[in-house]
Amino acid sequence: MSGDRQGLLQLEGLTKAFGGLLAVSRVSFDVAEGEILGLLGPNGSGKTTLLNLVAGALRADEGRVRLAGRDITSLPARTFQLVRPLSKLSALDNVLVARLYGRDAPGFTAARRESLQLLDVVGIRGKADAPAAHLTLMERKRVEIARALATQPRVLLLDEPLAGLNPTEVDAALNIFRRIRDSGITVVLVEHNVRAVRALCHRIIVLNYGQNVVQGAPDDVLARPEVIEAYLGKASADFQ
Amino acid sequence: MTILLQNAVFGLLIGGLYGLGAVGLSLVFGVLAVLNVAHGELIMLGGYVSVWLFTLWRVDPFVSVLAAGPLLFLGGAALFRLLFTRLASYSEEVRIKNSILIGFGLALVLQTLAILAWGADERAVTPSYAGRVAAIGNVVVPLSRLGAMALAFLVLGGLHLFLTRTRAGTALRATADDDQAATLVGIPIGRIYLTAFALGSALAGVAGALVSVSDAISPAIGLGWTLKALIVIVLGGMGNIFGTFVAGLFLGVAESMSGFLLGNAYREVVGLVMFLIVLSVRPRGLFSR
Ligand SMILES: Nc1ncnc2c1ncn2[C@@H]1O[C@H](COP(=O)(O)OP(=O)(O)O)[C@@H](O)[C@H]1O
Ligand SMILES: [Mg+2]
Repeated sequence: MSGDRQGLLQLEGLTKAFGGLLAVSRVSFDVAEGEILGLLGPNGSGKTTLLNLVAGALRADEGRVRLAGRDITSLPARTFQLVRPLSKLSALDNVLVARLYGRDAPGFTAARRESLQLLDVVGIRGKADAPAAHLTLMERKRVEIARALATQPRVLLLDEPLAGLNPTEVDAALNIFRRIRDSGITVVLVEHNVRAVRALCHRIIVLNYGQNVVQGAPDDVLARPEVIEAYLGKASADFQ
Repeated sequence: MTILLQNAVFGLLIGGLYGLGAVGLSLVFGVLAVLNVAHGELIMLGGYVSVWLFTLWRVDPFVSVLAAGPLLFLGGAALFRLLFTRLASYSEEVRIKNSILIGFGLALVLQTLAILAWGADERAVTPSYAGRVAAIGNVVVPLSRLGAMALAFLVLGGLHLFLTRTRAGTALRATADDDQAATLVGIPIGRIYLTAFALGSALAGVAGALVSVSDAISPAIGLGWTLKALIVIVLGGMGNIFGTFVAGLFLGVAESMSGFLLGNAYREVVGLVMFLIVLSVRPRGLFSR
């Protein structure tokens, strides 16, 4: 299959308008298998919309999405996105249900064992039996990540997973993401936290007004004057 | 003192069935937001399965449980397909309201069909051990009721295992929590709804067969069981199996004690009064956390 060289996930001219507003405009890029791609851009630049198009939660006006060479543009919502937690179920059950209904789901006992391992990966195995509603924001994010991993996605789409965390929590979260990265999973990561993006991503794409303006290695992209001006000046101010 | 204790024991034994009778209704309500007020009629049908098998082939009522459960499971699935499937697409509030109307209609139809099929008279199952008791000190324990209580407890234990240790059970709990989030995970909630209703009906069937062990069955018993189940659910809190069971025991003892202390006319009143008090003071249930 040609999917390998061209990238596991391929976006071709994706376009989405809300009324007269062009939220995403002819965005094209490939994501290679095992790559962590960072998606940056100011608020309202279309990052969330783009993820929703890829996830199938929104229908594209124009353009294609291909996964491993297969056109998935108009398939119903795919489950490799973060979903809202089941608040009365325990942390373990939240992960378990995702594993049981995910790709290549194993039997119950194996799924339960794997779910416990995933809780271990994200560092909240000790809270396995706590209802999701009783967890702190950081703990809930960990559960969400474990759930996303439990569905065994080909591609993991993460929309600002570090939002609302304090610097210590960001450090903890970074450790989790490094482990995820090292497991070889393909990730598209939308994140404002520049430090996190620099630490995790193999490549960065910057969106502005729904268009793909710059892409490249993190250090190159983050050094570009237009990126600093359009985006980082504000974002780094956010994190002082 | 002995009489009090004796009444408490009777209350506990009946209360086990109250708990079992309520669990199915609670499960269906929790997962589907459908309040099936014909639940008592499903219990009645379970009772008739046992009466029938006993009359035809002298089948022991405890064995008839094995038939009543699966039969009502299938019957429940059919009823769901026929009457409740379309409700699934409406908001929770509309679902609850409309399901009560549908349930009342269904209750009337089932009652009438039962009268046509088996007559309006009470029918009883009389196995050889019907009157046997075990004496513990001065307190007498009817063996058939003790057996029914034990089986009710086993069934609830089995239900607990199903809900916590199987794929479908986990999906059932997820759907009860938030059906949209459950859909996003990839759970086919249409199928889960069907399973929950069929399972709730099967539990009613099992409860009915166990009721027949020690009580007479007639087409009219349904409403009483639905009321008891509602009281028990309110006492125990929604969606909590063991809370429901404990609430059942509690109601059984309360009824039996007040029947003894205040006179038999007050048996049922006590349950309804508790129902109202709990609804106004602790609407999430007496035993909810
Ligand atoms: N459902 C929607 N309806 C109308 N406009 C929307 C909708 N979702 C997003 N938008 C608009 O599209 C633009 C891009 O939004 P979004 O993708 O959320 O940006 P980002 O995630 O980069 O902050 C914004 O101007 C936003 O107001
Ligand atoms: Mg966004």
